[in-house]
Amino acid sequence: MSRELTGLIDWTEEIPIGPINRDLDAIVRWSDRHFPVREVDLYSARRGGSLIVSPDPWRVAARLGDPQPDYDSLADMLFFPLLPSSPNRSLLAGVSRWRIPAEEPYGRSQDHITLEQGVNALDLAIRTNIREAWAGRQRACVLVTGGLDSAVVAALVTQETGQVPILLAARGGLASPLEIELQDQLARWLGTGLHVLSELPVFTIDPLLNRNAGSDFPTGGVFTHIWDYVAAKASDLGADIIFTGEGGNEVFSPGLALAYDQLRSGSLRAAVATIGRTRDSDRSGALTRLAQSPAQAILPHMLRGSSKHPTVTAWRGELSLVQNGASQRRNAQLRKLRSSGYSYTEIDSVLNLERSELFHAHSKLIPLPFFSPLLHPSVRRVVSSVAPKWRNPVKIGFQDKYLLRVVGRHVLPPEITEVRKIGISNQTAVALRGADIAAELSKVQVGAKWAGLDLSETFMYPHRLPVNTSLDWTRLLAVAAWATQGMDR
Amino acid sequence: MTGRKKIHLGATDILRARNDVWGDETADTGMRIVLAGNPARYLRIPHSTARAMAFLLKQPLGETVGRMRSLFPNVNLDDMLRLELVDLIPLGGVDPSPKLVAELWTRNLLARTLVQRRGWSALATWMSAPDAPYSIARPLIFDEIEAAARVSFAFPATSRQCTVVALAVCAALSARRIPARIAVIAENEQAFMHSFVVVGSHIVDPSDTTLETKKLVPLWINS
Repeated sequence: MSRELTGLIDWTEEIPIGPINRDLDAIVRWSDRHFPVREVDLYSARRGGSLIVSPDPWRVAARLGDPQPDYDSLADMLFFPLLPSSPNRSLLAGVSRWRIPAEEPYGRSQDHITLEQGVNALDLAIRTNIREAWAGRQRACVLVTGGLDSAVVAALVTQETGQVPILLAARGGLASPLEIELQDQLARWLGTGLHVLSELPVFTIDPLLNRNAGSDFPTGGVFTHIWDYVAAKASDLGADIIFTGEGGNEVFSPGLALAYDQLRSGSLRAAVATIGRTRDSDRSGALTRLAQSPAQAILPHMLRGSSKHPTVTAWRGELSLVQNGASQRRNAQLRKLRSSGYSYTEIDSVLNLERSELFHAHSKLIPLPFFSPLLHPSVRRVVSSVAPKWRNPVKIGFQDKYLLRVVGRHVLPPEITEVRKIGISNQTAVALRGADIAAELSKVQVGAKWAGLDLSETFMYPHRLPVNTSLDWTRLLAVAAWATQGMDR
Repeated sequence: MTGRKKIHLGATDILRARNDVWGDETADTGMRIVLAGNPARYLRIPHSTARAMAFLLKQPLGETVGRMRSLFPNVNLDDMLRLELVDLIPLGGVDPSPKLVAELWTRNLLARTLVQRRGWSALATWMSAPDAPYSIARPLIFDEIEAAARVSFAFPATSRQCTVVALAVCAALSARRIPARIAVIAENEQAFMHSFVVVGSHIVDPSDTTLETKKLVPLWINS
């Protein structure tokens, strides 16, 4: 994850390689003496008989010569969440990352508790997180999407803070009719009005550039300007903290990883049901085929900087090679984590959570903090301590994110807690409405060229692509902005 | 489903109205006579119970036991459940029956063959079926079919293709004399479509998410 490097950015040191070993413990001992800040990752590279160490990967790379991209890491970032495959690589060729976690990122599995105990513990964990974030604040705002996560957070914030929070809903095409209805229902239930942002600002890349100034990894994306806008509105309304339901999907819908855990705990029936629930479509039908072909048409122009436009068939071959490499590296990392005692569900949720910073990040221009009580490690720990067969069971009348739904039943009506999860439409298309994409992209031309991204006509129309591919587009946009800022440094 | 044994009702359990209970709609005071679904017999129920049932009938996804107790403190919810006037979704949940899973598996295979032979036109008959009114409260059979279909996907030879799933689910519902039809949705500019089964205001779709986009209709309707 990216860390705040302000104030540290000029710090680079060249250490003779003799006194220290090249293992993490040695680096940690050395950094304790010289560099007590443990919140940032360190980057290093060998040069001759010494090791260059800095919190800023660009400064390390600059000592080696012209910074070059590490295409494998770029591929990993495109195909999988931010840093799953190898935490020891950076996006710059020849620069390694020394990850110094401030706290245990994965909650170790405890003895499994019952469903009722789990629901009570979860309720307590979320409430505790809210109370801790609320300490010293005056007025809370909750960003409601109409989904279950933000609704549960809004209801619990109301109870824990003793005041109904400001409910802020960004519509302007981002919310579907059902979500709008659910937003209204939530406001009625909590007995307050809803502040609706019906017109969103036109896309501009400046907040994204700001977000990536001094960042060691690309963050933010096509929604960064919208997050800024939302935070500014919340600030105008008098709020001093914004609560969101971010991370609910990753923590409470574990996907196929859950089936592995269920099998290991001996719940064969639950594992079979989970496999059935999460199996992909076999793509045998006419309707799916229609959706598949354009979904694969955007990325060919972007990796490895090919100036010629290959045919889609030729590109698919290259794409599958790159994707296979990325998946091998990711699997190696998964095996490593698995062998250290973490459950599949934990690994899966943590890896996916790393991605959230890409999509839900506001720029540094906004002082108002965003906080999601569902993202805290304590919540993940409780979920992983519930017996696997109860984490997201396939039962009659049970929908996805079952544990969170039961927590919500204490504070919300079934019209909100029992509604099936609502899928998203192409929100990138909405975020880019009315934007002069070519003009905005010209501001990140330098970084895009460095990363080998071809800002061709295909790149200019992400809104014509299905939702999964347009999220790839967002990641590439973040890379281009990050590289532009890095080269400036 | 609930049988006659004593069930401990938890505050977060959910009660849903059944749609196979018949009664006199006009009686608004005193005792009412209703015909309960199974075992088929008539009952005399107090007015407060009738009000609780009327309330539940307007809740599409039911109501929690905790809230029902606070709204209707004089109504014996255990008795309503025992007499099969309402359905229960308990905290621990109920697995779909293996028989239903097997039925959905068979129907999936048949639907898969049909779609392979005829493409999307296999759906055409069900897509043009009339939109019949149906109870506001969602009957539990819809959730049973969804859960059974999810489990059936784990077994060999099934297809998760939405067209196949919609056909299988639609056939299962029609066999139970439920007026089901298939809807297809799409989004402007997006080559993404999805088909699922609709009964009145309810969606019966074993996928975990609902996508909200435009419904496809025959073009002659607006011509």
